[in-house]
Amino acid sequence: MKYFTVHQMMVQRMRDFHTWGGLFFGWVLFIVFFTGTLAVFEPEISYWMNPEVRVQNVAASESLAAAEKALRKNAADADVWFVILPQGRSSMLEISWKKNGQTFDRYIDPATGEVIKGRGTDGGEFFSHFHYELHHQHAGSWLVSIAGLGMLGALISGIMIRRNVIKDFFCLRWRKNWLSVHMMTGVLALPFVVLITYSGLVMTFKDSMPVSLNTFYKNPNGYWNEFLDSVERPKSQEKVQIYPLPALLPAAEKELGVGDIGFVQIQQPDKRNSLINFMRRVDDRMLAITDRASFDGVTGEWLVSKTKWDTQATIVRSLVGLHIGKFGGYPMAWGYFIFGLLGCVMIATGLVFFTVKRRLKYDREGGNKRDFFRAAEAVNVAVITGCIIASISYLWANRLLPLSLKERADAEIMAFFFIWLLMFIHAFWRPKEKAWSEQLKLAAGMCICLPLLNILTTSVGLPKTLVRGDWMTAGVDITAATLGLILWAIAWRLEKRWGKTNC
Amino acid sequence: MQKITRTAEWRIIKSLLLSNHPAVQLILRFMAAIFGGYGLTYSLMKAISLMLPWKKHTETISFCEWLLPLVYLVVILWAFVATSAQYAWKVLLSGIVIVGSAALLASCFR
Repeated sequence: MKYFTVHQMMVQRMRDFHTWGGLFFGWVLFIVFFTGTLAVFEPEISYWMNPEVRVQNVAASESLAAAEKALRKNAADADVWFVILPQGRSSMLEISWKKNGQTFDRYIDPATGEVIKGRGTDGGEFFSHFHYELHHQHAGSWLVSIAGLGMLGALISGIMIRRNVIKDFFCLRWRKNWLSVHMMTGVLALPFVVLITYSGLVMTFKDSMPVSLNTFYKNPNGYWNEFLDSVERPKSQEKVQIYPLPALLPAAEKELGVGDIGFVQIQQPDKRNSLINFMRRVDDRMLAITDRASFDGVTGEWLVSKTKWDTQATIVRSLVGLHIGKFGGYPMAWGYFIFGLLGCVMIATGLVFFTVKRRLKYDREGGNKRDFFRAAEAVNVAVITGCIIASISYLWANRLLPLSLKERADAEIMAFFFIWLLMFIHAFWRPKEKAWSEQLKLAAGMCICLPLLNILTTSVGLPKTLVRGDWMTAGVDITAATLGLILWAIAWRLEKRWGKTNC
Repeated sequence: MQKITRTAEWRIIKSLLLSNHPAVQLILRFMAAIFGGYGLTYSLMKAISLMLPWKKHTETISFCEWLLPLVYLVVILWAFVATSAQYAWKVLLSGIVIVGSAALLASCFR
């Protein structure tokens, strides 16, 4: 009988944790990481998905005047108005309003104040929401929180079971096999993955464990009102037109900084007790919280400003800022995108390694075990390439679905899930090597053809946007095509490799 | 055919819960990590929120928000370091009872 030391036994248990936790959480984590990586370019994807919205930039006061006009025309009886001014990477002027608990939003032309007749779409926002709640709100964010803890645990246990991994990385001992790619991308992306997972965990933790919030407040609204020191006003019915927004702008800029107003919220618009909140943009600093200045809606009198935050709030909101990565402009965004993709590669190769390692063994043994590992392999295909295909299908659906369709935004999301379901069926139906290469090639083809589809269906095709210097739109096309080429190369390499050996 | 009585059923469950089998150990450890960890973090969060002397509640909430995920992580890893799954469950359950009573006491004195 072989005896193990206590340390060896502990390492063995960590290996079990890494293997099985990695398998089940890895599926969730790949989805979270991939859609989260796409969400880095949320403004660009939204811009790409709204090809009708191409407007000239105007001064903030003109934008505000246009927004006020459009809101009064379209949402005179709303409970709250909201204006999202063009800022940083997003040059679109958006208005939204709340009525009886429902939220509506439209893009408008800042020059005329007319609502732009666009297509119904959730844009890049779908990815950023999907990546933390998986389309299931509380249940989703609970699962994502647990998976995030699993990710941090997997990093620690991964280093524990292969203590040489960091040394190997810096000695450039990089091999061309699944395990080595898994470990080397893991070490390379380690600081980023720790940062992004921990900060993401902090963001979802209030949702998945709302204990201290429930100790002090009846509902999250009460918490947020106190957190933001919001001014509360009773409801009024008397109709009085609000103080013109552009006229308030200089006073707000004096409080929050010239040219830094990002959002304007008008509570009880055109009522006696109306309240106007100007909010600072958050895309130029790490602290992701909106400084705000409140004004009386009717008289335009300055009420209160909130620009100082306590230490704990600064810690948490800075972590949020680090997670969303809006500060630092494009260099930062590209860094997040590339490291996010590296994280995806780490998770994907880990998942593949799980099955590759066992493939020979279970093929020989047969029985229940073989069926389980085959199913795991099919789920791997459906999760990894299926998620990529579903995401690119979402962009395709945006171009192909008829513009007159009712509930068009939901139809795009339906397309996303429907295609993903098809990929699940395909993965279980085809032999594994075939399933991998076919789905990879489909994903690659769809990515490479995206610019072509864009040229055929809209007026913002690649040649025009390049001439116009519209890099927000062209960037999406070019990035998709580049990723497509990379996917094609991976498919080609895999076919060559699996033609010779089985792993 | 053998008739399985209630006591026999209970004995089967008991032997399964106390089993040394690697698969059972692994599943029990995962459950200890996820559910035991959730319970312990939950009660700790309650106790901390009630005991911290800060005047502003929002500050307490923010503090819990960044600290408690780390506690949960440590508990998860510890569930796999503990000598056996049963031991991990025992420690976690007693931890929940102790920290939970502390939270209860704190809520009485507030």
